Amino acid sequence: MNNARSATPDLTQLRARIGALEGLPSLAAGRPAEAVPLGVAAIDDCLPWGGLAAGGLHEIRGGAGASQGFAAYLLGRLAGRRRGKLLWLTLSDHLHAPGLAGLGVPVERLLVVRPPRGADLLWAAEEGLRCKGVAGLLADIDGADFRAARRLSLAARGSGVPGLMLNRGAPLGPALTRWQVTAAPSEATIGVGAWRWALALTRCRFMAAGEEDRALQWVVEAKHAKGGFCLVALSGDRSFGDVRRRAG
Amino acid sequence: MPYLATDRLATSGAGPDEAWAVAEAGSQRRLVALNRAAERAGLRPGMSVADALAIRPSLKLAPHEAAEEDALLGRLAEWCSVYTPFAAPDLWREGISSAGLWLDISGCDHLWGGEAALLDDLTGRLERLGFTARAAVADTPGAAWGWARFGAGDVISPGGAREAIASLPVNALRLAPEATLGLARLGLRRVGDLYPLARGPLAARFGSIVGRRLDQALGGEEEPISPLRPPQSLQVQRRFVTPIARSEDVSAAVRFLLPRLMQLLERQQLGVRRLDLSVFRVDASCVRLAIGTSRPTRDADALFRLMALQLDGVQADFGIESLVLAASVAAPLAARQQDMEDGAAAESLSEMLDSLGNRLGFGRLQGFAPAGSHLPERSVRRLSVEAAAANQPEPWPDQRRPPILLTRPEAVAVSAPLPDAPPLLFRWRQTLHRVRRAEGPERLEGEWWRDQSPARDYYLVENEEGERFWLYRLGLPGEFNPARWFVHGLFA
Repeated sequence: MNNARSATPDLTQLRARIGALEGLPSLAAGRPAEAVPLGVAAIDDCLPWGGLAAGGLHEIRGGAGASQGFAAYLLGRLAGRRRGKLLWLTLSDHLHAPGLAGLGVPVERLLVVRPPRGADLLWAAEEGLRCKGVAGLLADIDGADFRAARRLSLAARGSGVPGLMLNRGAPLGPALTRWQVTAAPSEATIGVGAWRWALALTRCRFMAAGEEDRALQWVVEAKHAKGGFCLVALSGDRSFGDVRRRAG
Repeated sequence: MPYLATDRLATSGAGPDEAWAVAEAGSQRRLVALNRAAERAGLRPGMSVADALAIRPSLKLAPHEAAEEDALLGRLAEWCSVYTPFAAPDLWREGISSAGLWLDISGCDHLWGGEAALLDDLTGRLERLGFTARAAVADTPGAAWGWARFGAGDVISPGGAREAIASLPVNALRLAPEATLGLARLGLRRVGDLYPLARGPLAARFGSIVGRRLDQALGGEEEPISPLRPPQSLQVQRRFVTPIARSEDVSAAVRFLLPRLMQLLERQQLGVRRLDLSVFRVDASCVRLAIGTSRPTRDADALFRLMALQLDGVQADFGIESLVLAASVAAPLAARQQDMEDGAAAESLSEMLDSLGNRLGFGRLQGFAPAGSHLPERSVRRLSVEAAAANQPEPWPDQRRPPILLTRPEAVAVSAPLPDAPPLLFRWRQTLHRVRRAEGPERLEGEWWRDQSPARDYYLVENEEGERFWLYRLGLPGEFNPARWFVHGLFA
């Protein structure tokens, strides 16, 4: 405490302190909040938590196929690191389990909830986020007003459950990270190659000063490795320094 | 309930002093039931409407609505489950105007201070509701039936049925009019007249029914009352001296009952899977609420929270006089959880799933498992929450399958250079997609043992933007002209 007062209040530190007051997954010295790495070093290195922070909302936006694919991949990663069930909340009846399995989702741990209306979906998402027995929750939503989004965020914070928000509507205020996903053309000598996505991290709390609202971009490719499905970064921002250089 | 048909009209607004009758429809209209005023005027059931009107020109007529009466009896019988779990309506049967209620009060009467007190309570309440009721208690349902309708209508002491109903007319044996008429022709007017007779000739003349009814009345043959709902041994009840109406009171009563039910369950090492709350109101109506849980539980607080979601919807109307809480489905549940950490997480998970299931419906929660079909739309089995909880990892097919499968494949306009080549261009949802890469075909034959659907050739195609689709052409190359193409799924 003394130390913090004597040091020059660097903007990053201030933000971290405000974040702690807000109860966001903190970056307290030496002990980052519980996080689940994406398994792509280039991206994990850029994220302040070293991965996706548990206990918060992560927003995923983009075209139907690609954004859902990336969200499913993240859900699979959460399942790999956390115990419990996976919940997928959606209004549609389009989910195809074999396809999800192909993206690394352990389908035997997945429960799909199909509420009749959007309002019920938000309610159900809150219930699910509040439950410690959930490894990860993915909600397919069409925006949420500020109050609802805040409630979701608080529920996630209380329980430490990571919430993936596959959002087609207006951006969510309380999200810790926001990802814009677009499909990228694949490469192969014949046929269609491995899935490729262009990822843009358009928002990330606790980024270095001035970086918070700058997009970091990567192109990633899906690989079927021994340990299961994983992503490999082909190109993109390696570090904050890179971004600074390009911006300058 | 001798005047049920007309009482029903009275409760819905007909005047009490006017002569009323209920007549059946048809060319030969006959009276089916009368109220007291009509009876005093000398009218009898079975008279033709024309005769009745000649005797009493001011007679008011209403159509006979047997279904409505049966429904009313059903409701009253439900309400009578306040007295005993074995309550059933005695419905209108061809030619026998019964309009009554069966209650098996064995073992229940002491709760009301004896059989006579129970009878008084029952008839008193029905009277206040506007129903004339006569009731009797006897060793057998048959004797009680006769004694209520033709006898004094009170309690026949055990073993006294034989003497008591001997003086009743033979109608008291629940016989069809033809049979009673036949017996009367032989001079057999009283039930007692039948006692000394040999059964053989009686059966030859009137069929076995007369002997059977006699046996049933005298206890020679068992006649169980089939209750409306199976009795619950796992239930607790709370009656209120003064009817309650406030929702807080209802909640408090449920809170009071839940731990008691949990004790019952714990003794038998059971947990609730389905909980029914029956709310009996003073106006002889009954509401039932039910909640389900995805796995057996004895957590009174959690169950109350689930119940509370529905309690608000309970209308007290004129007041609630009794609540019955029953564990209608129970399953074995060991006394204690062992693993604290995991136990707590699993507990909170099942609690959360119950809350989702009770609000959204358990059908809206699903797990998935592979099904043995190669057709994409049949390749997945949907599992209930319960089955999904025990879901084991199973291998999914190795082929690339889309995570989004359209419930109905959508037809697309396509330009393909050759009948068996992937398309170069296709238009889907008003957008033109240029195919940059394609993979296929993967031929999936129709399931000929199920239906005659043609084979499909699936292609995985990628457009210039990198979006990937799962398209198929229906039928073998050239089978349909022009070729019919569909989008079936979206890849990641």
